[in-house]
Amino acid sequence: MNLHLNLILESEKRSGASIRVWFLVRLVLILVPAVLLLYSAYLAYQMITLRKETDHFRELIAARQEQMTLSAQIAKQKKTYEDMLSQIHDWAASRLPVADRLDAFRLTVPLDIQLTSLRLTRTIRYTNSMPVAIYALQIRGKTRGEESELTVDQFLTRLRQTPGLASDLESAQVPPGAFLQDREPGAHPLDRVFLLECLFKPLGRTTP
Amino acid sequence: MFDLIQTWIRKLDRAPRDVVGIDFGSSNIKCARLRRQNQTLILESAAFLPPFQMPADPDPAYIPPPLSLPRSLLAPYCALIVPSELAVLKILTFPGEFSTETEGQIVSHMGLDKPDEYRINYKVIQYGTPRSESRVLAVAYPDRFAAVVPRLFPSGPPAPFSLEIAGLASLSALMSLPDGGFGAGVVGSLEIETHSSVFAVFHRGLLVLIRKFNFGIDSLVSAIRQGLDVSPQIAYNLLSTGSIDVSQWTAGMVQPFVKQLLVSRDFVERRENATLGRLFVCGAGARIALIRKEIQQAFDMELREWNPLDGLTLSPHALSEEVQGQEGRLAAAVGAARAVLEGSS
Repeated sequence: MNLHLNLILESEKRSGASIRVWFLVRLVLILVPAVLLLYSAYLAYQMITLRKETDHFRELIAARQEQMTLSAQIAKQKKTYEDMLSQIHDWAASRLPVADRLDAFRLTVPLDIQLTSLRLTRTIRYTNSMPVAIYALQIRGKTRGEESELTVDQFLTRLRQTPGLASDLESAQVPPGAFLQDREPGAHPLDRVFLLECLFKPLGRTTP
Repeated sequence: MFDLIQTWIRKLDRAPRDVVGIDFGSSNIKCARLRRQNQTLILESAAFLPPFQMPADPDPAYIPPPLSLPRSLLAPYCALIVPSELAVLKILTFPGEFSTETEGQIVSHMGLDKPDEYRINYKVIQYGTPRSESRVLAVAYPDRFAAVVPRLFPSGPPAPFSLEIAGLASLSALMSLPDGGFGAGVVGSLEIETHSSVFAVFHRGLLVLIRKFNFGIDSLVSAIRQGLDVSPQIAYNLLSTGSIDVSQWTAGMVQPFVKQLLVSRDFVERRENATLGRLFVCGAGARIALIRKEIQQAFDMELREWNPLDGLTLSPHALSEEVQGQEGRLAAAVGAARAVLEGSS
């Protein structure tokens, strides 16, 4: 119990808080709309600028339509030529100089051997989407004598060692069962036939 | 819209926990800063400042220069106290229950010539029944004087929170004492200020009489000053210390006041059918031997000085040297600050 009789008017009272809530509320009430207004104005300005730029670029595009069409045609032509060039490069890289190889091959054949067939095959494989050529040489021949097997081995050895040929060869061999007696009618008992398979190293580009 | 937000914000504001009571007395501004910590009231600082000169007839638009307080007194809120001199204090009695109709009669019962020029507030101190009366303590203070005081604190701390009359604030402090000792008997309180005095009587803890007298120590001081041709301060010192006999200049000045006190006492004793048991005194005049002697003789009892700081926890260095021994003069400042911190229950 006390005899407190307050005579102060509400208008004379103030908040004792160091930061007055009413001040903060007023600040927010002013600041938030002001920020929104500024942001809206900024967005409007951006929109107008973008619209102007868009119109400007549309005009530029319309004015240069002919050049752009020509440019597209030229680019297409260029692409065609580049594809062609690439194919020529692929062909060049995968080409085996057959004449030179056959010339070298000629010197390796012993005098006791008669070649009956010579078959060169070319197979294309793709590595990293690039064409690679694999050449295979199939040689059939005949020989006579007690030492005909030795003669064929000598032929094989020469193939593997002849400069200009050996470096391109990946393998050269007489497959098992490919050295046989000649069964042709009228053949001499010492006549032998053989098959010799040469595989060349792959030719071509492996990277674009 | 803004009014609605302001009202809503005021509701969110926490009750003050740190208040400085500022008593604009005629001789000094008396300040007491109180802080509430849980249920404990702590006196943080107390000081006397040079007096504020209230204009004799302030213009309604008058704005005084801001009052700066020492840092130790800067609480977030202040409870302002004005002297009782210009106040009208009354206990009004109304038959039956207190109602809206009764409330409407308060202003007319105050006996004011121009009620519109006053700030008026009241408190029902006893709710009556259909067969008993209601008692209302009412106070009025001239608006043009009251309006000046909050303007001393236009911004920053402290913010004005309340404005009350010194005589009532002192009584609040007296009632807040841990051993107020009002008990079942009749207890009197006399506060003698510079220009006026307030005499109040409680019976069974209930205020049954309050009277303001236009008697203060200024009339005695000016009589001595004129008689001896000394400064007011020397005259006051002569009066308070009793170092020389000043009765030839003050003769007959205290008796009329004491007689009125006796009339009031007798009125209460007859009405309440009880005898005044104790009389508490405070204020600048309570320490003047001349006045004390007259009152003691008339009432035939010892006067009890009381300390408004009783029941408060004192911070270290809360009391400056000039305040020590003068604690009684802080009664109104402490009472007003306590009332704010404890709520006007």
